[in-house]
Amino acid sequence: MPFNPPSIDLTVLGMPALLMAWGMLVLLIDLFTSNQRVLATVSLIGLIATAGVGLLTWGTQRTAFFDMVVLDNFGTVVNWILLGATALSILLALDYLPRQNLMRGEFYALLLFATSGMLLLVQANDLVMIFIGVELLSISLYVLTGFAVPRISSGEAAMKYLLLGAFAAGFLVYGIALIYGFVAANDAISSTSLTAISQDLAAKQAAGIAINDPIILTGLGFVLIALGFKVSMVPFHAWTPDVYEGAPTPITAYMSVTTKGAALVAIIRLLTVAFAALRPEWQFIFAILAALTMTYGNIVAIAQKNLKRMLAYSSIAHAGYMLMGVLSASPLGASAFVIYLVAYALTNIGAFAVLTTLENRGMAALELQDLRGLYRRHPWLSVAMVIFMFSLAGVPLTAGFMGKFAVFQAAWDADLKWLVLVGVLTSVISAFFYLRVTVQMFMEEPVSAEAAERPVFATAPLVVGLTIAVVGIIILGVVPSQVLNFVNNTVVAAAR
Amino acid sequence: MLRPYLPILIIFIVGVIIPLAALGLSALLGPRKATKRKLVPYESGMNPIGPAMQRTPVRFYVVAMLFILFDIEIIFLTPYALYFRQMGLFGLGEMGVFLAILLLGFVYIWRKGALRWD
Repeated sequence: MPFNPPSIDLTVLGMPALLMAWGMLVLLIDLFTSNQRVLATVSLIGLIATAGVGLLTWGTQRTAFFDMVVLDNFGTVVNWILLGATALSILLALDYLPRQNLMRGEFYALLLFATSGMLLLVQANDLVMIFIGVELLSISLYVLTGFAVPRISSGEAAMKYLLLGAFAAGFLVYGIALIYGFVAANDAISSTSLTAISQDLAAKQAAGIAINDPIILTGLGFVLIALGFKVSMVPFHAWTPDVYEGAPTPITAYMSVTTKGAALVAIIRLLTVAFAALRPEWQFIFAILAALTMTYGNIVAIAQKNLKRMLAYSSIAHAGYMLMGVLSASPLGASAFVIYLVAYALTNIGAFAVLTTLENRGMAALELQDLRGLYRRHPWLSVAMVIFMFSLAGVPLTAGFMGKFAVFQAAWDADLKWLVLVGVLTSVISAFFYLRVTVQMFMEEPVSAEAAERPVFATAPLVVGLTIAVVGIIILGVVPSQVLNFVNNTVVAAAR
Repeated sequence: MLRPYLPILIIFIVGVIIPLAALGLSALLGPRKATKRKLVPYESGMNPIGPAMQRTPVRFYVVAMLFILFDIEIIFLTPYALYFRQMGLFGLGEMGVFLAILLLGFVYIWRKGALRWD
């Protein structure tokens, strides 16, 4: 039997492949140097080089490896956002790790591996590829969550994340099996690629076979449960606060943005490419889940005293807003999701950067009252925090407002007006606990004289990261038209 | 409307009933004659030596993980050896990449001292 090698087009996989190789390089360099700055710098160069690969392949749209991965401008834009979020997280981690005595070289290598898994997930055009991407990012993140391991809460967080993540992975595989069972039941199509699934569904519809069969709906539901777990969509969110609280703060910043972004792109591709024909079945359920996610996250965040837990619940709520863009299932919705992701990445990583500067060694948790009087200790830092809080709340002239505006518009156009109403109302609720943070910083006195003297670790890399976040938020909030046009053009063009 | 979902409900119910029945029936019907030999902790038929709550060196764990790594290498190499000729240069390149990644892991654990026993 002659062997036909598959057509290999590595340029399609250029971004994830380069980043993966670069992660291995970082792993090797770690063996010969203990200098963290070198590793961080090499990792940053790798991220920039990977972004450059995206520039080289810009404008092309093709699939490779039997339709398993796809290269398009939509995916490249999201990849750039994920790479940027990773770079910001490295800036956060650079001085945090030695301060917390967590100097281990695997950190940067694992960060790059997790990111490459996300890039793969973004470019996945096949259920099996989605599974590989999810696993690659999850396994690296389990380790990174437990990186602060002498601290009990970090080990607990890693264990919880691992157990629940393994459970979710089970759902993913079972769902893939059910979908494949339905698609490949009658004819010779033996592929789990998203395009093949949509073709098969269309063929079945043309032949008069009902496609809203329980098997495929159960399968789709299972896959969405697993991806919803990664996004921390509401009935599957229970791990989020504990994991975000226990993980090292730069990792919390990192995964609260990137995991959601990558998994939501997978959901977009799944719903709009493979299961567009089943839209009446999933859209309403998804809208209810998005409404629940926004409401639950914002209401429970009010009760939180711990800042990381508060931001964890707020990240659940923001997942709900991004879901609004996703479930609109239109080019407008996809571009709204991308805009929201940019705004959310800058804002959330910025907010966690402020927490990173305040977190001292051996500090168990940063409470809301620890922020009291921060304005006296470090005026610039508190001004930056105010901008982040305003942007998270969606106050006009910040990036958060543009993001919310875009997703509301997309949901409105998709005739989900009640969902827009829920989104607006929950944004108003969220303003309460975001503004409470600013009140603590500006209008309250420190709890004790000792608290007033606590050091602020605003070191150079952190200041750079904070500046990028603040400038990005203001640019996107005040003069958004360039970014909006760019995203609209690329994403809408990719959807055609 | 929910009619097609009936099989799933039935599977669910059967899935709950079977373990409950197995446990319940053996608890109801099974005779309980505790002898000394039966109460001894099971250790693959051997007479247990010493208490079970002992500290085990985690070195075994590292070795077990490394074993899996190289086990997987063999699993992938065996079918490749069978189709070595047909796959030609392409196969050689693919296997080279695979082995290079594994070798990298090997160098890593070596340098990190995971192979040192004490």
